[in-house]
Amino acid sequence: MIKAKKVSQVILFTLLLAISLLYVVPVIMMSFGSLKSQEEAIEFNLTPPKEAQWSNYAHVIERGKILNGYKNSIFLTSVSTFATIVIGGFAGITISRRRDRISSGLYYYFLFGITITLQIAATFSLLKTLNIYGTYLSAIAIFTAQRMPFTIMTFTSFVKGVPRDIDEAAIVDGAGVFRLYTQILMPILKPIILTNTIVTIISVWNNFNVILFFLNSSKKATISLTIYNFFGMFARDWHYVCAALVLTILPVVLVYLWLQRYIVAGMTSGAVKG
Amino acid sequence: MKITMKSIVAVVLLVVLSVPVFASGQSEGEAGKKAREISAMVMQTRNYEGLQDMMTRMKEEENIAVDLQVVPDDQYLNLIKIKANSGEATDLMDYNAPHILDIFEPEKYLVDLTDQEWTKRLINKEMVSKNGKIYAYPFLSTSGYQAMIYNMDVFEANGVEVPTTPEEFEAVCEKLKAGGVTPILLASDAWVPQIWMTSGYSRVLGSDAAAEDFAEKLLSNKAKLTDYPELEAPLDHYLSMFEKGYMNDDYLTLNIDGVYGKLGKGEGAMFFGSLGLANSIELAFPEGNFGMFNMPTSYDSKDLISGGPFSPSFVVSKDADDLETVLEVLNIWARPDYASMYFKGRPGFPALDGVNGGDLPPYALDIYNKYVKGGKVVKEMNINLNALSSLNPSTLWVYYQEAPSKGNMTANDILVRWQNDIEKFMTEQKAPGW
Amino acid sequence: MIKKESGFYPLVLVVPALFVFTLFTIVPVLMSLTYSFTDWNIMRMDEPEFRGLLNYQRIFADPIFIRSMMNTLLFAFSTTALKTLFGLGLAVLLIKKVPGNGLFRTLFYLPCVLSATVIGVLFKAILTETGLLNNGLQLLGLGFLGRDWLSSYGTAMLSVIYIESWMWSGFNMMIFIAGLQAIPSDYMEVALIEGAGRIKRFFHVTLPLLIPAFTVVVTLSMAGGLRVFELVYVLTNGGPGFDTQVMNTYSFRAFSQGLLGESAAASIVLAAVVVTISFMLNRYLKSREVEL
Repeated sequence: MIKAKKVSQVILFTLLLAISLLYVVPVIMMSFGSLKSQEEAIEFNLTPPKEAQWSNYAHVIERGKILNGYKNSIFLTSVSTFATIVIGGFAGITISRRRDRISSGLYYYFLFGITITLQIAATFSLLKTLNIYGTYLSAIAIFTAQRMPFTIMTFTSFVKGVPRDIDEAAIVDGAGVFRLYTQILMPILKPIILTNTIVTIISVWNNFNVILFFLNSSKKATISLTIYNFFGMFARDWHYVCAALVLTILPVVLVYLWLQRYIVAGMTSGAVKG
Repeated sequence: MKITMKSIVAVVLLVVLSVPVFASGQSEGEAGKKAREISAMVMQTRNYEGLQDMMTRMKEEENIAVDLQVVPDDQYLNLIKIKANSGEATDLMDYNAPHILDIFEPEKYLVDLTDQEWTKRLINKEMVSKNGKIYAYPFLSTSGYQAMIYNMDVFEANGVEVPTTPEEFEAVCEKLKAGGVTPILLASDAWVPQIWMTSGYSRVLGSDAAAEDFAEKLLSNKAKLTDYPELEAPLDHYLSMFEKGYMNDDYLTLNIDGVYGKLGKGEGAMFFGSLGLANSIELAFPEGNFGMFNMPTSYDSKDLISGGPFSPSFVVSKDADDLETVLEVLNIWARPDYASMYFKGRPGFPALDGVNGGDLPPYALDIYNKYVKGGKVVKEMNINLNALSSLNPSTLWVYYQEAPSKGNMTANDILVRWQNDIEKFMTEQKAPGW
Repeated sequence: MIKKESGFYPLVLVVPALFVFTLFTIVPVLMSLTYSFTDWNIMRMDEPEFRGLLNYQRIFADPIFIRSMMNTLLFAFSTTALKTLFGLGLAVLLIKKVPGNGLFRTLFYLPCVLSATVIGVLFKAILTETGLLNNGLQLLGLGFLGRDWLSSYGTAMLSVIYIESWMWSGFNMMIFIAGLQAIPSDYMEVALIEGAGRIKRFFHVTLPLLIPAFTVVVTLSMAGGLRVFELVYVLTNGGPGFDTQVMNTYSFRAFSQGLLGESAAASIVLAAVVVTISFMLNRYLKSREVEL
């Protein structure tokens, strides 16, 4: 019996290993490419670099204004994520806790947002009318608005699973609304907060269109746009292109690795116990 | 590592608060000159090293910085149009002149540069003029000529010579094909196949005057494409290259870099391109031996070469805040010591007198001597049909790729389809005559 | 009591979300809806004129639009099926105690951290005639299968569908793992005592209890699939020809020709399609959910 179990474990492990090949191959290809010399990198394949050329990175960072891109990406991503969690979280908790028609109407109103695509021209004229075209504020507002449906949906479901007794005890103890939300509920909501944090960071960090169309200065460009500074220049230099790609995704991958173990916990009560 | 809510909030706050700190660390001006800044937009593939060096030097010597927005090529036109039409244009905008002068109504959007000192040194004034006024600062007097680029070593190894008649051209292709070499390379980028036709349409019409007359009538709805059956000839010729198996099989996915690679390595022998593209190939394969010749065709008995009298240029937006500085920048760039920097690694024909455009390869000079001096140049058709420049890439140019791959369109079908597109496009813009 | 409870949670706290969402998501859609009845053009942005349903008539008369609609549906339905299937499969494999469990989960979720730009560059290189895929096939002795993957409709569409499924299966896997973990163990014990076999247990106990997870996975995948833009844009840009155009790239194409009214009309049709299909699916799945 134990032996049979061991065998099936080995089979399972091998199967998973085979599947993971599909996942690592492109990433390895890119990482190797970023360390190759120019001639080697033309062959876009899985051969390891003969000698790691770390200077590729130095070159790309120097010519590509990468640091400025990082700065803006970090700024826009953190502010948008913070706004998304606070605004969306408060709305989600409130909608979930109130049991009236208005809140269920609001729930479906926000849910409708997952069906909508970015309206470039209309948004452009809207921003012009509001006189905020080209500002960081406009990008933050658009990102936050885009994240509302998913955030509110997941918060609402998660809060459903939190016993009301907790609230009532706090209210009896004389806690105000603000204290209830921030000091009592938010800590319990940690898994769903972290899940939304990761998902929001990924989507804002990788965004391209909003930055391209609605910000108006290279000083405000994020990393996803900054890499175009040398896509043209380095078109045939795959080693630089790969290094640039690695630099673009590295921070967000690190954040993901840091926070990822909360995703399942967040999904459990946030999405599944609909 | 255990994460607490506090630590996350702390990290976020730290990051948010630190940003203004980094941002304020910018250096104060050099040499006591007042720091000034202008804004500009440039296409991703035009952000040449030479141009960047000019800007770096200007920042160092004059303390004028350029806030340069680099935009992916395929989004570029959308972006400058939507910005200019809503008063959000950058001070300087890069695009090809004369095309840009048809995309924007110059009187409405652009600053008149006629009085600027450097305009007196312009070699090709017509290219940057509209209604008698100059509206653009160009870098080149012409982008060069469109002709067949070939790998000399491959020609030699297969025992073929540069063809001078359509029959010889066919024979060369056959021989190369038999030798296991792809005779002609075509790239998947939509702007590559169309070079055949923008050249061919002008050559078949036979002169600039005839081509301009055709374009004027077409664009003002006085004639239709079908009134010019001769336009089918270049298309038929292009399509026949596929039927005869002269083109590479992967013309729908092999990008321009792939073409350079195959030509450089001798897997392919020829590529119909321009002087600028030949330059890029030379840069990629400094050891290679390349040449250029005018493709002999049965539809052009005069042996005309098509040229691209256009240039990457900057226009000045009427929205510019500090017009004085912007004009000063153009004046600085026009100085021979600056303007010559533009040609770093990319020799070409400078726009202004007294500027050193670098060493042109011998074939460029041969073409210049034979065709330009001999008066055998016609403008490529895209120049005459500027007004369609935002229509064609997502319509006509796609048909050029669709027709050979699916075999679903004859030359006539393509022209009929294009005519429909033009009608809709012009009517929607409420262009005069529609 | 209930009234009082609701009263403690002030609606004011929904207002910021409501404000941002309405202003930056709903208002632009309503503007597009309005503009879709006009001849709004990029060269005349200040003076759109009313023209009734003409834009809609035009796009529905355009074979490329009809084709893009078919592609959108094909793409959305097949990726939803694949993403659900792969996601469930990976979840079932990883719910067990396997060495490296955490590592595998992390890895399978990783692709959706990558941006479309990165995916575009990498996969275009992998799928060329001399790319990694064909080389790999050659090594496996399957060289005859090699081809120029993005150059014909069938394989181009297949590639895009596969890559989308590859990207998002890990995301769905997480949701399914969460769903599997949420199934109380007593259900399983009862089934075991009743002598149900492994397969029977999966289909009769596990799957029905997983329906809430299915609802989320299918709804999100379907809405995402119907709205697909970036992946198609970076991989094929609607080509070869107009073969792989989807509704969102069609709308963008009209935008780039300056036909803003027509572009708006196409995006409104898309929104209507997404709303109809997602909500119908959502209702169907909700009706099948069993209370735990």
